[in-house]
Amino acid sequence: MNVAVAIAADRLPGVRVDLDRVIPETGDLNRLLARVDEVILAGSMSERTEAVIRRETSGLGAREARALAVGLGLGGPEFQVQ
Amino acid sequence: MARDPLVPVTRRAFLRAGGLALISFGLDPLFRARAAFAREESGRSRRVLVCLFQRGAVDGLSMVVPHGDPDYYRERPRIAIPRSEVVDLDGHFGLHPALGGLAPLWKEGTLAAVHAVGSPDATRSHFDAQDYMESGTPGNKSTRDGWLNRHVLHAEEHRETPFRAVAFGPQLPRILAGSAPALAISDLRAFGIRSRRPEVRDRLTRAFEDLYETSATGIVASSAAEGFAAAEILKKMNPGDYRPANGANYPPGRLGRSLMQIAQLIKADVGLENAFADGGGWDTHIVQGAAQGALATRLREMGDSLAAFSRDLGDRMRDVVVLTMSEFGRTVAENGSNGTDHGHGTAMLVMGGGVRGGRLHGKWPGLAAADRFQGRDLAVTTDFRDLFGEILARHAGATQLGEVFPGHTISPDRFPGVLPVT
Repeated sequence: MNVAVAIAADRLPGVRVDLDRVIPETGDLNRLLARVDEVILAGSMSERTEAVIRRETSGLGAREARALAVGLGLGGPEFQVQ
Repeated sequence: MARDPLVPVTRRAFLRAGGLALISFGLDPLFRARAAFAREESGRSRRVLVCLFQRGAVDGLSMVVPHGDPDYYRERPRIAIPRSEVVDLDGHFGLHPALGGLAPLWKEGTLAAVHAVGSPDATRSHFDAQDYMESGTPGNKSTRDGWLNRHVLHAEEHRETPFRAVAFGPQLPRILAGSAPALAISDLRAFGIRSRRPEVRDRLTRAFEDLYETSATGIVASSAAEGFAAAEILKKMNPGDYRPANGANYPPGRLGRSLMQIAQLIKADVGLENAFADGGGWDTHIVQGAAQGALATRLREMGDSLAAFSRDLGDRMRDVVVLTMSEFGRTVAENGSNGTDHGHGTAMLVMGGGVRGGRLHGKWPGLAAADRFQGRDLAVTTDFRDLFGEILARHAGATQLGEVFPGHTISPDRFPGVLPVT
């Protein structure tokens, strides 16, 4: 989970993460969720995960919301099961 | 028999590789009950086994020096430990001087050594030999779990605790891989969701808790629950505030920190039964040194760490056995680079309040050319599974050693005798 959060925030030592190429910043939460689901979870995002990401990104700016959504996507159970 | 890791897990949950985890599921009752882990229902204190793996193949002949064997000095004109500097044990063997911190434990009878111990497999590959020693199945590469994990799996189920088996390191080692519950912890002080900003840490923690609480099933859910429970307990232990007892002074470095944190878990009575730590730097092909040098530095760190651990635990050592191990030994003869190459038999140390200490165990084969394995290495006279099996049986109360070491018939007749018959 810590690794997932670090990747999403581009703070993993020795690793450069270019999220802009795969999940661009957007103020549209639905679009952000769709990209996280497609790119990270291969369409397996559960309703629960979607609800949690929606709740936690509420009120955040586009950059922070993307980092949090990607971190939760990578560190969450659907991706870990894969 | 080795278990297929794909077989559904039958009990609790299991953290694999330390990758999943963290967050409280509100498991305060676990914490409140932790004092109950200190004693089993029988009233006997919970027994703890600590395994310490010297990765890279320690030179057992310089760790426990056969200074009474003239072939040792004949074959090592530049790197032998001078007889005058050896910490003599019995007139024939002695500890490397860098292990001098362990001498008091030898004298008080809580430290023993087993010489000429190792694997029946002849490989000199670090990877294969470590794999065999950790899987407990020499020569069989298909075994997917570790012998310590199988021991945990088949031993009596005690009260539920996420700390029953803990490896100190970034990922779960082979020895603890398998279906039984096990934690991988790099540092007790950093186990949990990490963020410099508490509000971010709390937000992430809450979010991950929600994700795993209902979304996941099977091993992922249970692994997460184990980690969350452990993190909650650790948070309340305040591991950063730990102060060793009895003036114990752990040396700096990963090994000292790992042993200190193992002592911390033991004293916290969180249910620890099996702990594992490891360290590298033992592959001394070049400039090994003698009484001083590269090997001496590593041995000093290990010896001082073990001595501090014993001092820190004090009377609690009566319930603890520490076992050192290494995948194989090194050549009897030194090489052209003032070092030693991959060998066969080696030495292991056993420390604990119940150990038949102050003596060498195992049959010494000698170092004469005719007595060596393949004419070059210390022969193995004690199969490592017999040593490990004895400790599991006589210290941990294991009764299903056939499941722990499949393919090997465990017989007390072959136990080296490091522990009294119970």
